[in-house]
This record gives sequence, C-alpha cells and structure tokens, in this order.
Amino acid sequence: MAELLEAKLYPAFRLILAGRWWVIGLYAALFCASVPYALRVKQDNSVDRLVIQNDPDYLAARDFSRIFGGAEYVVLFAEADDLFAPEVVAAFDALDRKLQSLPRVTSGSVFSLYHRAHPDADLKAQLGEFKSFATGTAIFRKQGLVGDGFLGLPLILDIRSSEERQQTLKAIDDAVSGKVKNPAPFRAVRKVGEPYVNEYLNRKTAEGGMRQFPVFGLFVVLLVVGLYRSFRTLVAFMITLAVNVTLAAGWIGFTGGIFTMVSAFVPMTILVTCLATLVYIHSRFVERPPGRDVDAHQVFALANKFVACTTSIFATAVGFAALAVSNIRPIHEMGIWVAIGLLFTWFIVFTLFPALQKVLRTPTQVERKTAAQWFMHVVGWMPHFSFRWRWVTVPASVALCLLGAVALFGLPDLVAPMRMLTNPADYLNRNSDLYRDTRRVEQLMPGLSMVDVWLRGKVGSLNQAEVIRGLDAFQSALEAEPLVGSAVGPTTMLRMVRYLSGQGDRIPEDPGELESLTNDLETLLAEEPLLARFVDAKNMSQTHITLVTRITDYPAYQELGRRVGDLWKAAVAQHPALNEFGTSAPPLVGLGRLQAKVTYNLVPTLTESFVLTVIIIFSAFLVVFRNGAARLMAMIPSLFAILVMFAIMRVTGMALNVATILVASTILGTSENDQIHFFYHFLEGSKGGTTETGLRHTMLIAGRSIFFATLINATGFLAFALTDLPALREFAILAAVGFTLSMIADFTALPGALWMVFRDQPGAGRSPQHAVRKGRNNRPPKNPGTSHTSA
Amino acid sequence: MLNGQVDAAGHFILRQVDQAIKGARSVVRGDCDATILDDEQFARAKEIEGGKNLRMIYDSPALPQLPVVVFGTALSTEERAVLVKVLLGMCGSSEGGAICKKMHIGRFTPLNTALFNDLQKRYGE
Repeated sequence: MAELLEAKLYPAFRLILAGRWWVIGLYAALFCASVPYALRVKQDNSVDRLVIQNDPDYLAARDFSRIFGGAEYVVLFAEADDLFAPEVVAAFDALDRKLQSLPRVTSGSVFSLYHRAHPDADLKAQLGEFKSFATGTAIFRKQGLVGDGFLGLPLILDIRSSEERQQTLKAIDDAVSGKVKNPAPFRAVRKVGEPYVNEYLNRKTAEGGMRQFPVFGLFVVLLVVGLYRSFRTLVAFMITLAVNVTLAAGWIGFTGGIFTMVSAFVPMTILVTCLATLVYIHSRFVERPPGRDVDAHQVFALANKFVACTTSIFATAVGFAALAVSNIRPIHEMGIWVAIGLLFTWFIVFTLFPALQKVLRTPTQVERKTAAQWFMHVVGWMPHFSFRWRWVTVPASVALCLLGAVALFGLPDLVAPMRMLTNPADYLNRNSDLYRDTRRVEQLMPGLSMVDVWLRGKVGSLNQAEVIRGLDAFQSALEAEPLVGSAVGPTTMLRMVRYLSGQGDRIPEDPGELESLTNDLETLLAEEPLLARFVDAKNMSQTHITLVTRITDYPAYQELGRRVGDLWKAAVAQHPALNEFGTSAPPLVGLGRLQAKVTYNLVPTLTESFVLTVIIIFSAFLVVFRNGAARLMAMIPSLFAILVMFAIMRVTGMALNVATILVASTILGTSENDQIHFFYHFLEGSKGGTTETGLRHTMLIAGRSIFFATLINATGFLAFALTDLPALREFAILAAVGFTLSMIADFTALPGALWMVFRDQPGAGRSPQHAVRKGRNNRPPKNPGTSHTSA
Repeated sequence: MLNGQVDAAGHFILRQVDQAIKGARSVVRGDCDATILDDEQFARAKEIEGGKNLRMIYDSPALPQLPVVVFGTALSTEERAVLVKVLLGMCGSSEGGAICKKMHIGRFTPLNTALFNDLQKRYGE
C-alpha cells in the first residue's frame, strides 16, 4: 500500500517543485498576513482562564461578579513589635492615605474606617482613643485588620483587564517600595493576593519566552550547521520554522486566543515537531546515491517519508486534540492550538520546505558529507546487542514501567498516589519575595482562600428586619465552623457601622431598633462602598457571606459545602424569615474554589486525554501498518518513558500540577513519531528478509534521525528549564528526560521485544515465512530502489 | 383624597416608608397593594426584577420638585437673590457639579410659582 501511495505522490511533488516560486510567494503572503494577528496574542494567567467557559462553576462565578462587582483584592501586612507606638501608627496611616489616593484602589483598613468615623481626627493626638477603637471589637481581628504583631491593609482593586491590573499593582508597588526595602518602624511590610500571583505568572511566563526561544533558535543553528554543514540548509530550516510558528500564532490571535502559563508549550511543541520532521525529510534527501539526479532523488525522498511523516504528524495532532476533552481551559486550548499548528506543519514541510530546498540548492551528501558518521557503528552493533540482552532490557523495562505506575497511582495501604499541587503559592519561585510573603501571611491569618456563600432571595428580602437577624445568626454559625477561619457578610458591615457610631458591634435585639437599622441599609449602600459589594442594591434580593479559610483542595471545599448546607437548614429552622432564600444549601462560589476544582480534575483529565491519545495513536498504527499485536510493541518506548518519568517525579519530590500533568500526553505525542518512523522502515527493510535486516535498514534510514529528533525535542523543551516558574521548569526537565528515555528504549527494549515476538535471531535467515504467520506485512517491495541507502 | 373624591386612608392601611423604592419592592413582593412614587422613582421601580408588571392606578396632578426652603428671616432679599443665582448655575460648573453629583442632584431650576400656588389651593395653606 505504501509503495503504491509513494508512486502516486511523485507527480504531486514534481508539481510543487516546478511551481516552487508560487509556493514561496503564497507562504510569504500568508506570513505577512499572520504577523499582526500573532502579535495580538496576549498573556493572562487569571484563575478564571483555567476553566472552559461553559463550566457551571465558572458561569456561577461570572454571574456572581456581575452582581457584586468583579474586584480583586490584595492585602498589605505590616509587622511591628508595638502596633500602637506613635511612629508605627503614623507610618501606617501615611501608607494607608498614600494607597487610598491611587486610582482604582479602595482601602478597608482600620485606619480608613476610623477616619471615616472621625473625619477631623489627629491620630497623633488621639492615640489612646484610636487604640481603643481598633481593639474594642472582635470584627477587626477576625478580618485580619489588627492581629498579634501585625496590621492588615486590605485593598480593593476595581480592575477590569490585565493592563489595569498591571498599572494598579505597579502604582501600589511604587507607593510601598520604600517601606518594603526599609520597613522601619515596622519589622516587615508584606504584599499578598491573587492579583500579585497572576501578575507574577504573567511576567515570568513572558520573560521565559524571551529567553527560551532564542535558546531554541541557537540550538537550531548549531544542529543544522553541525549535522548538514550547510548555510543554505540552515536558511531553509529557519524560514520553514518561522513560517510555521507565525502561522500558528497568527491563527491563535485571529481566533482571539490568550496565552496562559502552559500555552508557552504551544509554539515550542509545534517548533520541535516541525524541526524533527524536517530532520527526517532532509536526512532522507541528503542520502542521495552518487549518480542519481538531485530532482529525482528529492521527489523520491519526499514520497518515501510522506507516509511516516504524515502518520506521525497526524497522530501527534490528534493526540493533542484529545486534550480538548479537558474542562481545564489552558489544556483544552493547548490541545486544539497544537493540533491546528501541526496541521500547518504538515502542509508546510511538504510544500514550502521542498520549494526552499530546490531554490536554495541545499547540498546532499554527494556534495557535502553529513556529520555523525559514527552512527554507522551503532547500526552494525545494535541488532546483535539488542538480541543478546533482550531478556534483560525487556523485563527491566516492564519492571520500571510497573514501578512508574505505582509511583503515579500508588498501592492500596502501601504507597499513596502522587500528590497534586493545590496551593497557588506552589506555582511561585521559592526564592521570590511573593512566595515568602504568602507563606508568612498564611501563618498570621486564618487563611488566604476566599469562598462566597451566595444567597438568592426574593425582591426586597434584604429590606426585612427578621431576614437581617437570621443572616447574622447564620454568619455567626459559619464563623464557629472549624473549616472556616472567618466570615464577612452584610451584617458585618451593619455591625461595623453601628460600632463606628458608638452603638456597639452587635445587631440590636430590639425589633424597633433592628427595623431602623434595616431601613438604614439602603441609605448606607450609597455611602459605604464595602457594603455595596455585599448586597444587590437594585433588587435587595441577593447577598453573600465571604468565608476566609485555609482550604486549598476541592474535597475540603465539597465538605465545606455540605457543612454550609447543614448550617443553613438549622438557620432557616430557627429564623423562618430566611425561607425567602429557599431551604436548599446555598451554592459556594469563588475563584479559589474554582482553582481547587481545576486541580482536583487534573488526574481524571490526564487519564482521559491520555487514554484517548493512546487509542488514537494505536489506531493510526493499525491503519498504516495493519497489524495490532506486533505494532502494539511500538508503543513500548513511549509507555516506558512516561511511566519511568513518573517514578523520577516521585523520587525527586516533584508533584502533579497544571504543567507537569501534560508531560504524559506530550511525551507520547512527540516520541511516537520516532516509533512510526522506526516501524515504517523496519517493515520496509524486512520485506523478504529477517528481523536483523529489518533492524539494520531501520537504523540506517531512521536511526540517526531518531537520535537527532530526540536531541531536538529534549533540548527544545529543556530551554524552558531557564524559567523562574517551578512548574514549567519541572515540566521541561521531565519532558527532556522522557524523550531521552524513549530513545533509549527505541534502541534497546523495542528491538529486544521484536526479537522475542518474531522468535528470530541474528544470522538465522528464517524469518520471512515465520513473520507471515505472525501477521507481518511481508510483501516483496515493488520498487527495491526506494529502500536503497548509500550510507 | 384621590381626585378629591376617594379618601386613601379609608380604603388602604397606610404605612410610611423612608425609601420610595422599598415601597415599590413591597408591591412587587405582594406585601402591599400600592405605593406612592414620582415619575423618576416609577422609572427606577420598573427596572427591578418583576417591576415591569407595576402599573399606575392613579396619576396625581403635577407636583413641584423638591424645593430649597429658607426658614425665618436669616437672609435678606438681596442675599436670597444671590443664593438663587448661585444655585441655578451650580451644577453646571466643575466644582459645583461635583457637589451636586455627591448629593444626587441633577440641577436646580427656578421656582414654578404657579404650581406652588395651585398646590396651596388644593391642600390649603
């Protein structure tokens, strides 16, 4: 079948070479059109970009922010030995005023509350009074505004875009940078909050891209010049790669895509796959036998590599497209973008690259000898070595695979499954100030995770005095719940308003007083921006209670949801007015919970997309090679690499996260290319021959390319090891290790298994008939010249 | 008296609310049958959930807008004239506009004396 197809491809490739200038012109036009769209692609690592847009929890979080405002929060903490020493109070007050004057920033500190209650207050003169105010209620302590040895300064940021976030955080940083560097009279000034984490990830991902792609470019230059020793070949490679990645990025920009942390792998995956395919095609091209016409040989080389390259590119593309089943948005989008980018790769490597080869007159080995001639020794040595050590390499591979499976899934009662990163701070560099501040504040505060209990009632529910009383009781019950650090709701604000006006910090027992306070709520909404964030002012029907917790994992959030449901039922039973909000458990919403859900879904996502990828790639093997059992062995190197990589993760203490979770699919999708080329040429070489002739032919034609393709893939991904982000760095190292392991298995365990399956041995000369019985595709080659190699 | 014919107090149990929109919400909730709103409040009430179903059952004759009142004789006639002049232009200036906005005042308009006279006739001195 392959030979027939090859023969049919000859005219098509002749046509492409004849119309080479048209092809180059077409791609030049497409390149120019893609550049503006490619430049349009932006970076955003917000939590809400982690889930696909029809996820019910995402939709709930979005609806919630439409009603109550989509503000983001950062908190500044100042640690001091004596919080109410005159110089400490003066310095904090100055800091607070400075921050309040910034656009889009509202302060919720105890200082700003005091000034609101006493507009003409002079804190220096009223230190004692201020101290009594700050320590006279538990409300401030529960909210982390005043604690043991620290003062909290919560800032509400009214930001609607990454640009606004960037500007606002920069303004805050500028305002506090002096105190961060020289904190006196404080012990330390710390900044924490999700906007900082997002901004850090955006900045580091962008900076990483600036470093990784030049490193990759340098590597391409070294590889191409070192391997093919030709500047013209280098130009052909560079143009092809540039066009491929620009078209792919242009497509992402055209469809309105936005890069997240893992999206940096999209151009890199496309680049390494494209480069590896070019190495396969060009290596076949340079193996021109003396005396054969260059044009005729180019057409032969393209047709000969067409099936293997097409199969491997499409298997990789569909393998990545399988990631689209994920409800984790960056993974979902990465799968689709890589698949589309690889579709471009397929067109480009069989149209633009041949045209460039022709126009630039890239030399073959007749004109210029290629590098790595030492590989010929490997070709001679490998079949015997793999046969001799087959009972070591194959069982050892299986044992290591089992070890890897245990490392990932665990063993009941003996080994726990691999841990997953659940805390957003784990994505930060351990040496960064932000990481250290976040860890310190986690110790000081009752938690840094926030989740909201969303209460949806009837129009005017919040105008009912008894509803207010019931909500206050419900909030108190939530605060007493061990899973909850503190709870802030509309009644907290009402209590605070009463406290500010000297009426104590409790909701009044007297019905008349409560009625009056409820009536005031509507007026207060216009005056107190913080209160307005807790109430749906138009309908007075919806509110929420914000819970601050230490929870970072989804099962604990689910448990919290159940406890909230129980407490709500109890509250409704005690305060029938709360029936306005229904009796069923109120939903929990919030980006922290959404992030925990994403993390919780990582392993099922990995498994689901990985199983799909395996099925697709195995199906591709079946379609192309028409034999299941023997071709299943072709997956040995990939499975070996993936499972051993999990064992390495376990030993080195690496955890699963949104980046490392992609390693299995990436290794499988990338390394199966090598196995497709391996098998394609193995079948080609063993026609009418033995396992030994098949292996020799494979090593001659594809061995060196597999070696260099692995080198490309490993080094390409290793470029990400330069990033400051631990998750990306670990992914890069693991991918490089995985590719190398796969190549080692290509040259040891895979041929060892082939010897075992075909019950063959070197020099036996007995395989053809035996192979037919085993189902091998063993038809005689119709055109023996096509499998010729001069190496 | 509605239209001088119907005594509202005789037909309804009257309750005072300090927020007009709260009255409108009570009607939407079914807690009461009707509430008194001006045109602007009625337009706002239409925006609340279920507010589209609110309908007008009685339209009173025109009432003056919220007046600025000077009690006693603290201001002379000249001073009053100056105050009126300043207030009329206040919301149009940048400094005064900010204050108007804060006080939720759109603009100050000259007194509609005819309307007040009519009101005085209707409801007595």
